[in-house]
Amino acid sequence: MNRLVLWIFRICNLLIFMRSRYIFKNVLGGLKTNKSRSFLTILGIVIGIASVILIMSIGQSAKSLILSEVETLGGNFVQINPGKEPEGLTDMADILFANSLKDREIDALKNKSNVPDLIDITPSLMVPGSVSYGGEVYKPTILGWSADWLGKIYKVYPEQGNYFTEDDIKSRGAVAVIGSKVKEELFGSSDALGEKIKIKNKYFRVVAILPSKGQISSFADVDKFIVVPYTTAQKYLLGIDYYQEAHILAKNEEAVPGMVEDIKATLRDLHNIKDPKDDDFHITTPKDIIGKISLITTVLTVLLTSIAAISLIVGGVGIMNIMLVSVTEKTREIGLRKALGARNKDILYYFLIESVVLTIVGGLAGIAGGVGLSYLASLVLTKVVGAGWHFAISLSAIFLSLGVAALVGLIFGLYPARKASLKSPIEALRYE
Amino acid sequence: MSLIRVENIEKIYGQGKNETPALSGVCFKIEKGEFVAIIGPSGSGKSTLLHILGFLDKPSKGKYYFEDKLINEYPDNELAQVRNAKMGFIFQTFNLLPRLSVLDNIKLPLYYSHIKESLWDEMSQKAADAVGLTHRLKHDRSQLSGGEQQRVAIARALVNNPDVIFADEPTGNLDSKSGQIIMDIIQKLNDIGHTVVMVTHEKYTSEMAKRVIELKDGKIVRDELVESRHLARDGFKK
Repeated sequence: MNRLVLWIFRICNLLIFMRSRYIFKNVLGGLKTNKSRSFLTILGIVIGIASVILIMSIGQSAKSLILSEVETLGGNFVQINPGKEPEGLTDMADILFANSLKDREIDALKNKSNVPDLIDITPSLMVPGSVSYGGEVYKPTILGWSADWLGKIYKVYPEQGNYFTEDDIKSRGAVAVIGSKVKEELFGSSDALGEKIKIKNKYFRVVAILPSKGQISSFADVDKFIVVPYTTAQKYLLGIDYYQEAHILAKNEEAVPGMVEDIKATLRDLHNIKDPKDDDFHITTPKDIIGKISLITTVLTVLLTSIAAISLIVGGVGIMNIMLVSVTEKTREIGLRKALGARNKDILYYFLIESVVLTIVGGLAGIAGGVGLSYLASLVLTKVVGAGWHFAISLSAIFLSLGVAALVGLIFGLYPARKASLKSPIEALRYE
Repeated sequence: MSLIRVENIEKIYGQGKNETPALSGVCFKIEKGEFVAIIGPSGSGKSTLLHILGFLDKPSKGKYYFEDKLINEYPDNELAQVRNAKMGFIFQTFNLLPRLSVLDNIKLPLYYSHIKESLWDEMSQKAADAVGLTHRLKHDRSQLSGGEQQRVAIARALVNNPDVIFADEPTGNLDSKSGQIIMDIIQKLNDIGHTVVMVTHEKYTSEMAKRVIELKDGKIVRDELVESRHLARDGFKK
């Protein structure tokens, strides 16, 4: 590694202070005479760099999209799930069957003396299944929830009708709020308000229809929503006595850390938990989500970039191969140059510069291609995902790619260049 | 001080059973300003000797002193520098680089020298003048005849004003008209003080030098001054 750094240093030195103009003239002349060969040789580098740029760009766009969504949730939003913090697949399974979040817990959290900064709380449930009306059947996302939270969190308000109320929740009312897509699938253009739809053999009266908003987050398309009171979903649709999650709003963002501690204390007290390790619940704040998403997207981007980078190694091998050909072709020239006074290192630099120039040209073409592809991809993804998707390309990715390209040239050019530099002048001159 | 002094030079190619001696026990001196032709049939070791004299190859045994310094002790890099500063090479096959113009070909040794870049053009121009190629500097190799290519090669050998010029069959690939021009140039270079060591297998060409060393089977069989020297300007026979 140290030697590599030394090489880089020497080459920079050479480029800046020595007769680089002539070397470049020579090298470029050589590459021009072998245009199609040079082009094919750098193709591997072009593709490798382009895919690295593309993946890094998409990764960055995805990350900023998801983060912006999390931010729309608001800084005062907190979520509680039963079961301890998942660290592996078995933990995930535990959570699915965890039943530690029931009315008793919700009531305890609602108590101002337990959690003073909590201003609102609602349990939430997902109901698998489909909905039907007349002959039409549709598979929506069915939520047991407080419908007015759509307004509180996502600023989505009914287009027709009104959200069901606290009374409907208390009385386990058979009422439903439906998304625009659900309405269209079941009712077409006819009126839906007041009609009765069937979920799991139970009839629900449509009390509100949502405007078409599409994806309110990467995970939820509000147009496919059916929201029913969580009490109704719990008892009649799922037949359970616990909740899958609870959503909480704090007084303000600053109050969140203190409130989280209050919630923990309340639940631990309620469940007689002494050691935090034994917690049968876990709390997620926007900060946690942002941290996790950043981690996930970073890991994914690094992973995909590494896969793309493999093509750079393949490209590098191609460069090495063609450099070996070039060295063989120029055997007599090497002999002549040595006869005229070239030292071993002059020959070495000559070929190193040739391979680095090749890969840098490939890198530049790859960057251009990668930026172009990323832009095209962003056009397509904007159509698919929505206006939240933005074309992003970082300058650091571009410089990194260029550096990597040069490094590939240096590493894979070293062996052929060394081979050239060690040729005996007289044998090289005799070469036919 | 002799420019070149060799003592019992041996060169053996191959190893073990395949050992073939190319030179066995060669001794001579060359002084500054001499014009020496090394002659002999093919396989006599004359090219090997020239390569050793020009630092392109190393003797297997024996001592070679260049300007009284034993070259066996020079590291490779220093050999390259001596080659660059004090020696010029002319090859039978010219060995011009195809991608470069005449001027750039002549400049080639200067890349590897300590001479300031600002002087390169002037020096190359001067060397081109000396071989009568002043008007062809921008041309490409393919636009030149064999004789002209060899003149470029001579200019290249001259450009850094070397002490000694090594010529390996300089007229071997040329017709007699071009050969005459080339030999005339080489004789003139010798006249103005350049030491010339030339390998040839043609007796007539060897008699254009001032001294002939004849090799046979890797040994010197004759080393004498030329009695009736041919001058290229009077004619040339192949």
